[in-house]
Amino acid sequence: MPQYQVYFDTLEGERRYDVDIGDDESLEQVLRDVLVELSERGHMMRGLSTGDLKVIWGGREGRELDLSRTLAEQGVRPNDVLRVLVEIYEGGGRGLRADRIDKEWTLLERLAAANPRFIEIVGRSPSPLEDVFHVRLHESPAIAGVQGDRIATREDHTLRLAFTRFFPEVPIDCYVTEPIFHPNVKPETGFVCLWEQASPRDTLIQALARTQAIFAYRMINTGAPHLMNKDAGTWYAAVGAPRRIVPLTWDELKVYEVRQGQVAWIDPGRQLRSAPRARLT
Amino acid sequence: METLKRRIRESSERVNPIVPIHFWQSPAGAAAEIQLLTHLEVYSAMHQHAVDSLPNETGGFLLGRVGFDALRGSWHVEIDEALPVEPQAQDPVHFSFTWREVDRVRNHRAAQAKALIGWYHTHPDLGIFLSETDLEKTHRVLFAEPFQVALVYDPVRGRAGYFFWEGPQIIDASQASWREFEIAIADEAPAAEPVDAAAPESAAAPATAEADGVDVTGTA
Repeated sequence: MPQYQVYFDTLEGERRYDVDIGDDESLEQVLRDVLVELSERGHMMRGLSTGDLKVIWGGREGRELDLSRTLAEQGVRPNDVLRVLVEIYEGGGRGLRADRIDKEWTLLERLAAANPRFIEIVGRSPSPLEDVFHVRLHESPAIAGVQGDRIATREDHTLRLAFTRFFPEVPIDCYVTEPIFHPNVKPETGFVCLWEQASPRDTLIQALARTQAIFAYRMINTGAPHLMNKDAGTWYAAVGAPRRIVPLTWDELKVYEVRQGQVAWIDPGRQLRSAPRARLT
Repeated sequence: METLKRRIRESSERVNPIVPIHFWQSPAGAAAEIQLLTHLEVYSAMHQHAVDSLPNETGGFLLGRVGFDALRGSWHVEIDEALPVEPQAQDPVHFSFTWREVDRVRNHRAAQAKALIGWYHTHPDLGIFLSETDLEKTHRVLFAEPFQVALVYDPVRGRAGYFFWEGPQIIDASQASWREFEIAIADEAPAAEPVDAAAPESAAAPATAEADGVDVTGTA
């Protein structure tokens, strides 16, 4: 079988392998097999998750090969040099955190466009240490305070969604300016305890949807680390739940868009397919 | 008979040429030992590329030769060439390049029988560190050999610093005074002044070093 010299960038650095490739094999099939074999040998290739792989035919001016065709069809001869590279490489002082926060802002804009009755964007305060999105949430019922049998409710709220220095490893923080009486809202600061088990993939959409659900007492977490207002916890257990005062009723946010007659989730994480790495191992 | 008078002129050309360099080494106590000898003309080329690209970021490749001392377990690296990339996109906080640049430098490396030592890129007025983008989108992908380094240069502040592997995929990407040094480029070459400041871990170029008006000062 014809043999070719193929260079890969692995976790240990750039490596050259002699690879047997049949004249009738498509390059895509060969690449898939080789990547599996490399990973079995512990030579995992970098870059699978960061961009499309390209197979370049060596020479002074390398040429990108068509993965759907065979090497013979493209004029590559045995012993020729091939390089497997990622399409795009990047550098930048801004970092992935800032990129991710920009994407969160785009998500907020799209979510607000899909929910003009409920979400009003007030502004954004960027900072290397903490970026803050200022949002008004409308028609989202919450209990503002309880005095004996008198219950005050509020439907409009001013939120600060804070992306700390360590976002996305540390999840989005949410603060409400107006008083909210809820076990998971801290009265002194307005901090809303959104997450029991946060994931770096959680977005602003989950943050706002959970805020709505918490405000309406649809979500309650009385576990010690999450209990921000003990009085509200006691009230919920003794009065709110038994008397069916809560949960309140609210309209959920629309988290999808209709594009060209097709429904698409605003949050790209909801339609994530398995990465090539998962398919190859 | 008339005697011919011989005249002797002193040549300025050395029989044994001396290349002005900057010496930098990993700090004591680091998990890996690496010593870098960088030709000052590399810094000169990098600086020119950086300034021409302002206010945007840019970058390029570092080439040279590598030795490994098996007894000491130390890497000894000479960087003698900077090869700029042509960014596909660039702005003041980001730049990108395609596989074509990587293919080009690897062909060049093979033709010159050199090693690809790493890459340089600029952080204009941002400081000397490796961002997640730097690490995840380029350094970990392209430069995973134990001797391969990243050189970050801030052309606005005139500061630079090296980043090196301390184990497989282990790297300290943070800002640190011990890694930094100053690159001062004279407006009109040459005549770099002798350098006398030196950090404990990174020695400056010798007093005779000059290359296109490049001055390197190791400062901590």
